[in-house]
Amino acid sequence: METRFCPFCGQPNQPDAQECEFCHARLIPLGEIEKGPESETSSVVPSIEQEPQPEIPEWLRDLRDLKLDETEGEIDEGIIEPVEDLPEWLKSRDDQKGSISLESSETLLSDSLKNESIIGTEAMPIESAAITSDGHTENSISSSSSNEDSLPDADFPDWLKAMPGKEWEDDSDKEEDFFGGVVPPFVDFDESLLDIGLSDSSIVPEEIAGEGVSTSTPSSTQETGEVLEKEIPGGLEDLLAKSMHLETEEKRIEVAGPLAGLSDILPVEPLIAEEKKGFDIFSNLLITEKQRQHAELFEQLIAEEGKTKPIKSAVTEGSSPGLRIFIFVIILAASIFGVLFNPLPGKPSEISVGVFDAMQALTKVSAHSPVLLIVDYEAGDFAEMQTVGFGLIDQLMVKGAYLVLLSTNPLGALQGDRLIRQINLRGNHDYEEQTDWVNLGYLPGSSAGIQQFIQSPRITLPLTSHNQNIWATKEMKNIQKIGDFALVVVMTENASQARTWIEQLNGNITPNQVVFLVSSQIEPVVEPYYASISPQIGGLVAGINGGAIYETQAGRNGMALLYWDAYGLIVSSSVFLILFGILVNTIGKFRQSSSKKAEGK
Amino acid sequence: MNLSADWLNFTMMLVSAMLTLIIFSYIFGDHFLFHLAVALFIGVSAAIGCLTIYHSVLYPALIQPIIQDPIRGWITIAIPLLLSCLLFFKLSQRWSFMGNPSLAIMAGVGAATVVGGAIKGTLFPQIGASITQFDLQAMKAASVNPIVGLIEGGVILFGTITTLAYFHFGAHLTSEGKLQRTSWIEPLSWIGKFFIAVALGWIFSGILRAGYIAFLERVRFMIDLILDLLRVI
Amino acid sequence: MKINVPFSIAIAVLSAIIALLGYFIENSLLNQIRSSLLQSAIILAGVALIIGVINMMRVHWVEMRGGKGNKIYHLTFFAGLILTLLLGGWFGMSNPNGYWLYEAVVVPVEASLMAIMAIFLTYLLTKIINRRKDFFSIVFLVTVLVGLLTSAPFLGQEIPFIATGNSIVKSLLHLVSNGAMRGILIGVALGSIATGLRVILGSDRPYGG
Repeated sequence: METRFCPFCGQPNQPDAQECEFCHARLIPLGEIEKGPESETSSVVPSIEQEPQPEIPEWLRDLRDLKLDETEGEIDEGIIEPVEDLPEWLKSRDDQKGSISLESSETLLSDSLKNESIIGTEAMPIESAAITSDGHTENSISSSSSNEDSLPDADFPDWLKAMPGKEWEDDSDKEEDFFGGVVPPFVDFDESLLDIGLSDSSIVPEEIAGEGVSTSTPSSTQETGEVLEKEIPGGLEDLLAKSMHLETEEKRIEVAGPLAGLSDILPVEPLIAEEKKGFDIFSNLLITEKQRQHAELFEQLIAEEGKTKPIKSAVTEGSSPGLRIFIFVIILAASIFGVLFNPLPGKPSEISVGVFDAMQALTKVSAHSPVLLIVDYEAGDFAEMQTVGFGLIDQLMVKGAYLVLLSTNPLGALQGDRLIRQINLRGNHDYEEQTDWVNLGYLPGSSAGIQQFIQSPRITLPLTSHNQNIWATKEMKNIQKIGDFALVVVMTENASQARTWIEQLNGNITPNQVVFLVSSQIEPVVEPYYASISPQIGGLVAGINGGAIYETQAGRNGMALLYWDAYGLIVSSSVFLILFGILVNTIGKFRQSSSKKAEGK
Repeated sequence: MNLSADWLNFTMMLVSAMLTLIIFSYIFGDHFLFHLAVALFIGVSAAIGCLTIYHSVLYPALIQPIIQDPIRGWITIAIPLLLSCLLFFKLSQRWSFMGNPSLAIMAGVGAATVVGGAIKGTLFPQIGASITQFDLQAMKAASVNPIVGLIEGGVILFGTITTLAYFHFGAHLTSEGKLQRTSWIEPLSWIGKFFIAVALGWIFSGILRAGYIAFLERVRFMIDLILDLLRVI
Repeated sequence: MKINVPFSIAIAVLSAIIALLGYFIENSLLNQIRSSLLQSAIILAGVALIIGVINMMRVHWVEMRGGKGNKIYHLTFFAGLILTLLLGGWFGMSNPNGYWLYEAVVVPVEASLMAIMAIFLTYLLTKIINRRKDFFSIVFLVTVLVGLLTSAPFLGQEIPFIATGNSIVKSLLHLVSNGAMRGILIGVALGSIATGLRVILGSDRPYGG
């Protein structure tokens, strides 16, 4: 299958595409579309060649060998020639039956003739028309035989049966001219024009009507049909049969462009345009066999991608609300028990390198040192983030650091306020907004916003969430870029946000100045940035156990240690529940399968 | 004018408790009140978002400069204001195209910062970190036992390579016309899958832990409220 | 509009190149232009969020008038929105009266959703083996259990080699996970670069080109 190149933009398309995916132009000429996908975009010749050979007279066989350039010329050359230019067989008919023979040929070639008659003899190039003329040529002919009932049967007059095709050979050139001229492939045809009356001398141009064309030709197509029935040459029968087939599909629907969906309209793109054939050099010569195989493989992959694959009937486990509610009740009970009775008192004994480094980073912070606290988490994670961050923020408050809050989450500004209030309360601090801490509010723009803030925080957020300018205060006057903060603490539960902060901070601040306080759910994501010989961040506190370790090391009883016992109880019960649930489900499944087997037996 | 702090606090806790119970009741199945609570939550969140943006972005960037110095202010904000106004055309289907230039700036700048950040912040440093895991001098400086450091570095590097191999989708056609990965990629990819399963398992356990703490916090809140109410009664 | 398309592409490509160059080249003029572009992007991102909210209001309004969905949900949405705008707008969001609705609505709903999600995930874990009986499911499940056990003492007792101090199991878990995550992070970075470059080169036009 060859790539189909768009005739207008030249872009390659899928071989079976009907419309260019780049410019939405029709890839297959209109007639071709009607014929079906098998037909190739080429001239009429090959398609006719597919017809059974024995029934084709010599003159028509010659006609099929027409080369495109042979049809070159102006359209007015192709208009019905004066009688002297008519082919011999028509001339002879003219001699025998007078005007009738011309009428039949005239009807046969009606659409082009009529259109030309109406439009006039405006010169139009044929060259390109011939290229896309396959459908159109047929179409034109089909129009001529619009009255299907009048199509000829196989019983031709004796004179025609007796007439040897060889006799026409001498005039083959004229016939080619004749056909090339009277079947302009690019002029669309309106069926209603048939009713105008082709024989009407007012419509037929004078040069046609005047010379040898009798104005007494039958005006109705029915009459023309009758004439055709008697007079049509055998070779044209196939053509007419083809045209008949097209006739039934006359109401074509536009598939491309702004008029897509409408029927019986002129095509969007000019059909006379020459269809660009793809440069074979690119597809055949410049690629190796291996590359071609890869390309085919790629094509196959893309084709597979689009195909809908039958979904395997998944073994659906029925929902067990009982087990779900059981898990809920047990965890609820464990929580209540843990909160009320504190049954498992204790503190984490492990030492975390991340926590140790975070504590080390704090040693550089002195009283009134500006510390940027980025609060980037959702309200749902407030509880965990509070347990993670309490130890460090509490220590910052103990040191008297000037906290500058910021968030890249629209609700984060309020989270920051809430966090400081809670730690203030729990840690017995007396931190006042404006004097001890400020909230810069929300920073939109994700990575762009972060990058801008890192480079020039003053320009990015000139005012606090209370619309106050804090950049002139004694704590903030020296801050020109993010590296001027004594410490940057990022609190987040979002893996993507954490990655963005690390990426943007890289190179703009020394790693020792950055501490990450993260939820346990993103600890594995952040760890590669920290756990290396040359870390990108200076400290990492993750999850409640990180927070609990911090508080233990700092000797403070904060939020993490407040939840620690109950949390231990919940985790223990959840491990039991998971194992119990697996056991219940496995037994249930086993029973189910054994009962099915029993039923089967 | 401030409403009574106690009254405010009380109603806030009551509404909060009610909403907690409504959401928790979803365990027993979907119901009308759950959807109502979520609708309320979306409305309140959207409004808070708007107010935050006004205070953090619109006022300082587009209003305050004019208040400070009307002439210079207008010059400063002219382009951002125009682009912002154009963005509002996105609300109309017919005139949506007018907002394209504004979106183009956002997309272009956003893409550039993402690319720059990914190159400088993740790609180079992470590849570098994989290499320095085997730097004996750096290990010495970081007081890491060289043997332990080399083993650790080896495992991490192996995990990195096999994980990347798992995401290698190159394949060739077999004689039966089937798509198959290269023979040496297949076992690496299998090992990579093991590494990924461990990493995802750990992330999953982290999500569970975060959820348990949220659960604990809600339970604690409810217990505190009940105890407070009992004290009042 | 056809004319608008190349114009937008030009803007996107130009602004992207300027913003990208800033990462690698130090130049005061370039930095100034870059800063203006980034600042504009920040303002536009903020405005886009407001437009998003307006659009959401419009959708709710249209659906409510069209009788689509339960009317009471739409009314509740508007009630929450308007009340918050009034309170927050009048008192300011930092005032207790202003953030009242935040404390009363946003925090409990989000926290409760997170809490019940943990219950559902625990429930789903009990089904994992029956759903997918393969080696990797078992590896996943074991890692989850080990992850839980290493985070806190089991019933107050530290299990040897698992939950004790810096246990070997925990160290191994970190090591294996680090390797995988480094691979994933490199993959994500490559993906981000590819996607970003498509925008920078104008072949992807998320702005409606």
